Order: sequence, then structure tokens, then C-alpha cells
Amino acid sequence: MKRFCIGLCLVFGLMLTACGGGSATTNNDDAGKVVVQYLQAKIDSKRDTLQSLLCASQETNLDREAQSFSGVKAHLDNVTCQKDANANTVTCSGAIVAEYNGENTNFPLTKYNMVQEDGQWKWCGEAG
Amino acid sequence: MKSLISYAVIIVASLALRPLTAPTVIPQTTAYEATVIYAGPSDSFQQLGKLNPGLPINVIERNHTGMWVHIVRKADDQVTQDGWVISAFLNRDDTLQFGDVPINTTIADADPTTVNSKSLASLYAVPVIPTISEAMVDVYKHGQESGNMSNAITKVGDSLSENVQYLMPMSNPERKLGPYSYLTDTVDYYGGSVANESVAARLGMSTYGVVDPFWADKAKCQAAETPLDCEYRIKKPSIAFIMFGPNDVRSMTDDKYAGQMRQIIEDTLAHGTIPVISTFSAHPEEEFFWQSVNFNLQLVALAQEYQIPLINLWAAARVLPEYGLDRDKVHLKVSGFAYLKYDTGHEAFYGVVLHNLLSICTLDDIRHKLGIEVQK
Repeated sequence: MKRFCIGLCLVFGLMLTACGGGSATTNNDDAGKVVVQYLQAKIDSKRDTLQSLLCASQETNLDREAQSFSGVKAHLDNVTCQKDANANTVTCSGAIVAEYNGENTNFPLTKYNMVQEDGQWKWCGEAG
Repeated sequence: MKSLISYAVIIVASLALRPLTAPTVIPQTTAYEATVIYAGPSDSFQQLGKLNPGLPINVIERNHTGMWVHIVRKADDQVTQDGWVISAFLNRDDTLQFGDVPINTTIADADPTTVNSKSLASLYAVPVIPTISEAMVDVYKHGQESGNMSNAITKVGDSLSENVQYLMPMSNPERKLGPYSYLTDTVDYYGGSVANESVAARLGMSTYGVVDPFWADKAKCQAAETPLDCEYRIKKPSIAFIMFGPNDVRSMTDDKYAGQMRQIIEDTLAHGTIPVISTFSAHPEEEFFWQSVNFNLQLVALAQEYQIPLINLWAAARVLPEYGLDRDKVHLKVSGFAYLKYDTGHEAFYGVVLHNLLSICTLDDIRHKLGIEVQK
């Protein structure tokens, strides 16, 4: 019984460790998800969401980020975003498709800078 | 003897004061359809009567562009009709050349006192074609030192600017300038530079989009580069025609719009490129008409502040059917011709043709102000 309890504790401990690592916002998957959320908020002109996902140094561009697609109907097309190994950047494939006056325009996605602030990944502009 | 000398002095002085452009023969023509005669070159002036088709008239003056002309009709050596008409309604044969017709530089482009709205009166009071300031000569010189191309122009804006019939027909060697042949040298000089599309003029683009790297053409622009900076880097233009508003007016306040236009103007000046901004036409039945008027007034204030050229397309288009706009009451109406066609008066019917005419006239003034001669 004692061995069983020790074993259970070890398994539980390992699970906690694993979960702890996964729940941290440093997870590579999270960075990609943040970018996808950001892109969706951008084409929906959702200012509050953008503000929560934008890094501090880009806050002066919040109006631009929230307004630049407001004159068109846009959607994300085949978008996947993944954090790049050994770099604080996320590379996305796919595009934003904007419809204006019955005509579609494609905006291919690219690589974006990411920074961690307040324990969360934040979108920080196009990677130069 | 003394009085004889006085007369001689008066005659010599009057000859010296004659405008150099005064025609030896005053052009004669007729109207091809009945048209209203106004007291000045705008429908805001008092209506004086109607000119019936087929009656011979003399064209004695024109406004800056030639879109309006001052005509006189005589019968039995008596002046029977005297006033201003839209030149598009006159029969245009080769003898009617606006380059030969003196420009009336004293009469205003509109009579704001007849307009019963302070905002509208303020817009009407702005000249259709701007006077080019000395400050723009300095901007041009700065641009030349930075490697800008003297004969390169570009366009910046939304779908109204992106339209292939705006400025791009200047690059087409086929052209029919009709009475506007005085613009030939200017079209020749700048025309080649607008053959290709501008990355800073796109469908649905706003004053925010043009400074957002998301809107940049990734095939042509560098990473994190805005469409505006990208266009100026690629083309190195000496002059940029900038028009935003019809998209922005749906989602922006006056202050935000003015702030964005200010950023675009400052960015353009920093590149040593002369920004030519333009008011935009709006339909009174359209939901955002009064907001459009407010936006246009913001542009007027910015043009004065920065001493940059402003084309008052809004005022010039008032006299066109549906204010020069298409059925959607947003986009300027196109003529369907891929070349410059001014031999049949299209500028009084199609907003895009008028926009081209005003832009080329402004370009002509800038070229002369900069002292650029065209080598034949």
C-alpha cells in the first residue's frame, strides 16, 4: 500500500510538472495561437482583443491595427502559424483575403516578432 | 505735340500690357446643345440665360484649366450674350485651343455667397487648381539630392486612385487632347512613369492601410515596410497624387482622418516628394455626405498648413451629372477609354476624366514652377 501511494504520488507529481510546463505561456504552440487570434481580431477590427495581444512597444499603432481592414470584408484563408525554433518569431502560411466591391485581394502572411510580457506571448510587428 | 507724345506713350504702354497669350484671332465656335450661361466659371454663379446650339460665339477667356470659358455672342455688332459656359458643350474643332485663349486670373472658381451652408461655402471658396508654393520647390530640390526621379510621379489612395483609368492613360501614346493640347509636354514628360501600378494605391485601402505593412505587396516590398514607404523606395517619385476619404469616411472621425493624412503628408515630404492632395466628390443623397464635407475641410486646412498643392475635385465635380460619381455614389464614373480623350468633352460627364484633367493641369503648373523644360 505504501509503495502504491509513493508510486501514485510520483505519477501525480510528473503529471503536475508536465501540466505546469504546458500551461506556461512560453509554450511554442501558444505563440502561434496568439498570432492567429491577433489576425482574426485585426480583420474583425476588435480593438480590445488587439490591445490585449499587442506588445507594449506597438501600442502606439493600436488605431492602425484596429482600423486598417475596417473598410473591407476579410477572412483568414488556410492560416497556420508556428513559432520558429530558437527565435522569438512566428511564421505563418496562408493569407488574409479581403473582399471589396465584389473583388478579392490576397494579403499573404509572413513572419512576426513575438515578445513575452506579463507571462504571455504578444504580437510585436512584422519581423524585419 | 505734348499730347501726341502722351498718346504714343499710352499706345506703347497698352501694347506692352497685352497678355503674351492673347490670340491674334479670337476663337469662334458654336454650342452643340443648349447650355446655361453663368456669371462666372461655376454653377454657383448666377444664371444669366441659355446659349442655344448653332449660334456663333467668340471664346474670349478661360478659367485655369479651360473647363469653363467666357463667351460673347454678338448680333448686328451688339453684344447679346456674355457669360461663362462649360466648354464641353461647345463644338471642338482644331481651331479651339485653350493654349491660345487668355486665362482670367481675377475671377474666382466659385461664388460661395450663393451657397446657404457655411461648410459648403468654405469648400466652394477653395480654388480648383492650386497655386504652387515656393516651399514645394525646396521639397523637390531635397528630393533630387536624395535621388528622386524628376519625371516620376505616382498615386496613393484607395480604389478611386487604384483605378487603371486614373493617371495611367498618360502612359498610352494614343491620345486625343483636343483643345487641351497645351498639356502635351507635361503628359510626355511624366507619362511613362505611370505605366505600372502603384503599391500604395489598392482596393479598399484607407489612410491606416497605407501605413500598415500588412497592406504591402510582399512580392515588391521589404519586410515590415509600409506600402507608402515601399512605393517611394521603388519609384522615387518627385510628385505623389494622394486621395483618401471615401473609405475612411465610413469609420473615422474628423480628427483621426486629419491625423492620418498628416502622417502621410509628412512621410511624403520626408522623402522629398511633393504631395498633391485632393478633395473627393460626395453625393448629397449619400449617408456620409456631411462627414465627407468635414473631411474635405480638414484637407484644406492641412494644405494651407504645409503649403502643399490641393486639387479641389469636390468643387469642380459639382457641375457633373451625379457629381461625377458612378451608380454606387462612391466611385468616380469612368469613360471606358484607356487613353486620354478630351476631344469630345468627357471631362464634364465622367468623374475620372475630370480627375485626370485637374491632376495633369496641376502637374503642368508644378513643372513650370520647377522650371523643367521638356526636350523635344
